[in-house]
Amino acid sequence: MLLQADTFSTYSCATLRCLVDPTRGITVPVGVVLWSRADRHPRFRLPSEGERIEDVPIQTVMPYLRAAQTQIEAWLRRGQLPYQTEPLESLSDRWWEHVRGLMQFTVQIDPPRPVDCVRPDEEMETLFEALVQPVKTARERAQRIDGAVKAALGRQYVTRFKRQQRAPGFRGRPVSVLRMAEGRNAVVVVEAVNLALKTAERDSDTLASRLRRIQENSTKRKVRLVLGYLASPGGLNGEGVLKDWIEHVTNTPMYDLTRQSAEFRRTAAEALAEAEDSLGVLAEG
Amino acid sequence: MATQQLAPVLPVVHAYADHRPVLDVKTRWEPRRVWCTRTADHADAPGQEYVVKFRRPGTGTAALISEVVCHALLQALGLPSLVAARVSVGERMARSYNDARTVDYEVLPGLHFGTAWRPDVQAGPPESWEQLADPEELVRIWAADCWLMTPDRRTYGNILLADPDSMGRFHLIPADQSDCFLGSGSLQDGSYTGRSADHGAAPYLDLLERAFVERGCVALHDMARRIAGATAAVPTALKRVPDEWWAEAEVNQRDLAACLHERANRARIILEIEKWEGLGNATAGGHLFDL
Repeated sequence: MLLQADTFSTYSCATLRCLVDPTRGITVPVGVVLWSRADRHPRFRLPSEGERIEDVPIQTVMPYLRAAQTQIEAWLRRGQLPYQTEPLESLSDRWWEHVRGLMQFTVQIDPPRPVDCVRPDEEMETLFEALVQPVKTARERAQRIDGAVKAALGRQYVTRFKRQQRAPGFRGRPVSVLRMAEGRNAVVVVEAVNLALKTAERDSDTLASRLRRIQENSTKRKVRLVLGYLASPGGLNGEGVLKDWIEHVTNTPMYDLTRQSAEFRRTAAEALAEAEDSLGVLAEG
Repeated sequence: MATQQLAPVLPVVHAYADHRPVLDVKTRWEPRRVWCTRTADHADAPGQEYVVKFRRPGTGTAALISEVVCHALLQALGLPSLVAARVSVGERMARSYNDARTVDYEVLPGLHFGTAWRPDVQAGPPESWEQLADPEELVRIWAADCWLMTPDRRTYGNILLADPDSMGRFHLIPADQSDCFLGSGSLQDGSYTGRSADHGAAPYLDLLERAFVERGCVALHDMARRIAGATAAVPTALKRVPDEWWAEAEVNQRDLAACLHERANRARIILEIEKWEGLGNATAGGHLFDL
């Protein structure tokens, strides 16, 4: 079931940090908490089993992170913070400032900041990726982006676009693509990039190059591109320019796979219909 | 576990660089993290960070007496403790603090109290059963607090969660014994002596009842025995306090010793052993619902 978009609440987030070098006071981001004062229940995204964060021994740190989450939730339930000397509205900036002041041990919290969030349950993942920058293998990155593409395409269309295909490319050299549907004279390539990751710039440049090679293919086949992306809410890390670059070099719009999944799916459907219509027209001819 | 032999004195470390407050919120004693060395000339710098409570004449010094004495008695009871020391602040260091107005009271040169800063902990008390590696640790801390008349163990940071096991469950370390004997004010004005006879158990910690229901009273009986044995450590615990602090705080050592012995003699009553055994009997064979 597609979750309702929340277009009314305002959201804020904060990064949870772990003290990795006590002598020098060096902390590393390891988790995210996201909240809206309207819904009263902060959402925590902590590292999952097997997840990796550079310079952080996750197994060692997880008990402290879970303890921090349990503690914050308990304080919210009680409606009172330790050493609170004046009324503080729960989840307000001043409330979080006081929480930050208390959390001065293994787990610490960055100042809260506003975030443009519409679908918090879905966007939480890209927020985590953008703020924590977990280490992901190429395979994990591919699975993540393909999972988002699958969800955006929906059951009706996902089976039409096959994985691990090769599209025609510049001077006859085929190009591996995320997903593809093939008509007789037209090919529909579905590609996407995760702009929330540390590798966003490299992945974007790679994608742009691959897409240009497909557009400049040596065969007579028409190629239609359907492009998507994942980005942290509001493009926190300034990744908007990477999306603009891909659109510029390919002359093709890109769709936010979380917030514009309907448009993405519609574009894919139209492209598919066009590719199959080419097949039909040729058959009639 | 047998009660432990105590070292006769606390080591002295020498403060040379203030770092920051322990918490970024206003607390009663405003402890600070301070870099200290073992040597007076700081040849072994950087040394180690200590959480230092600075002595303030009157109630402040009484609080440090409580810290030193109760740290020793917790050790004698075999409970885990933070590494403690007398922290020496030189004239220049004290002047630096006062000139910078780092705290809103005067820092005096001389000896203060500190515990080694542990960055690898989370401030408690524990919020959920699943956080406890050994629920009986909660019973032991509470029992010790009953003897020592600790009123504030539930305060944030007065129990530390440390040393998680392979399942991510923590061991507990009692921290901050500045307000034992019904509070530093009560220790300083001597009123604790009159109140002790009528004073029973320490405030219950969350999860304490569950610890008794699920684990029974073995730890409690054990603590009653340990308290009896720990009275032998009272002279050493008192000796650890710098002589000048007793006069500064106007706390009478003999009264304190008498109070501790008297309460140890009544340990079984103060620990409410009958009540907790009764709870165990009433709930035996039942299932606990976590509602």
